[in-house]
Amino acid sequence: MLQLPRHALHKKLVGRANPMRIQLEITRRCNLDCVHCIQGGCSDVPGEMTAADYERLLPGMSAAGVFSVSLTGGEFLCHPEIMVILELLLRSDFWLALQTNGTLLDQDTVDFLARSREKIRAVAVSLYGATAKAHESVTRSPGSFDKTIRAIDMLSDAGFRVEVISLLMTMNQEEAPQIQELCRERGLFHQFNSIIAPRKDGETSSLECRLSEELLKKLPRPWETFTENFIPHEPDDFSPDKTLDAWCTMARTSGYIDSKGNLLPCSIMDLPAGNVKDRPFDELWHDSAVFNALRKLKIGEFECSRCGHFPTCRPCPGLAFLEHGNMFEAPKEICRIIELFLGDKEVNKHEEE
Amino acid sequence: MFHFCQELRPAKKLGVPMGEVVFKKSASLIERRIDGEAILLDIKSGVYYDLKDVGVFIWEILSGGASARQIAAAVAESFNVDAETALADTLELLNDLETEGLIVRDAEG
Repeated sequence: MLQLPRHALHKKLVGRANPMRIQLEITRRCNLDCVHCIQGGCSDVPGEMTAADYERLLPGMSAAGVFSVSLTGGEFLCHPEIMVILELLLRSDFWLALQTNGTLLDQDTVDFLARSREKIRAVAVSLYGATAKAHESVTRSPGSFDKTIRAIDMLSDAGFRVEVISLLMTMNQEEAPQIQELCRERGLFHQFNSIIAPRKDGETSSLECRLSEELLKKLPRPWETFTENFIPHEPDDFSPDKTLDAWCTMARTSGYIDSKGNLLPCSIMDLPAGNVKDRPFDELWHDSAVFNALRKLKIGEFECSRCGHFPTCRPCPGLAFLEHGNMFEAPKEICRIIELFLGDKEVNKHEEE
Repeated sequence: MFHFCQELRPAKKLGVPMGEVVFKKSASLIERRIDGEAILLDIKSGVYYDLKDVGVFIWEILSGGASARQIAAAVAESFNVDAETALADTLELLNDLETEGLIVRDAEG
């Protein structure tokens, strides 16, 4: 039997902390000003990785075992050398995914990407409304809706798998059904969530856009499909004495390289292993004291492990880190949403007898 | 004991005996070496595959394109098995690999 089922692959690679998937934050620059963005919007970031830096980085990532690379930002198309960087990535042997607001995509760029379409698993496009009014109330950028819709259509026509991602908040939640209908008409995969987190710099004004319990209850329940995508596990995998292997892939099979070259466990946790401009990727990944400490953490050290909803809710330690500056606490916003949909369950399930 | 794999597609169209058909790796694969194993990802399907031991050895030979007979000769020499067994096992693996779309027949081979 040659096929390797996902759970078997995961066990094989997580035990070895083989980096399967890496997100590359190509730039923190963005041409939009989304109200909820945890990056906070940047026009320039000193010390950004250059195309030459990526040319040195990519072979090392391949040799270290990375299969998949996702491009993100900011808006990755804002990088001044993006076409050179894309050329490097498309010549590489990674399976790529792109995350974009779509507004900077033109037909030439789509045609360029389409020449290597088979190497691009999907293009995720952020869409916040079925109308310009709703969408641009989030992006705070007039004209962005039409550009995003045009990009979605160009990508679809070129044969890409387009995944529309919608974050729902107070100013656009009314259009949730219309967004779904827009995607259904176009035959697009659509995913939404309503988790709004504080900015990475600690600024919390975006939290005012969080949906009330009343509005959350009106949304289609995502949790059934949310949990479908999780890797099958054994019941014992979430015992308090186990490491986080079955729960969170950060610094195990997934990681994040920010726009300055810092290797992080994920897109949210600001715990650098080091900088890929200074040391080889493989060396940082396997030898970092920070990463090795993360790999040794036990489930019982986390507040979530003592809740009846765990592990069904699959809480994100990164979100807890953003909310509280402490990954061991429960991410309260996820708790609020989960309790609405799953109901209150008896907590303290791991009380000592 | 000679093992004849009846699932192989006949090579009559090419007028080439089965053992002489040259195979090459599919272009839709990403492969990585992890702990001596070859982990393959077929980006057409998103399915992962795993090759070990002799499978890895054969997979390496396929890098440049090779026939079952060429591969079997290398297997026999490297793993100290008789030629018939090597050929039978090689044909079986090649059949599995071809069925999964991991290798294709090289029309120019």
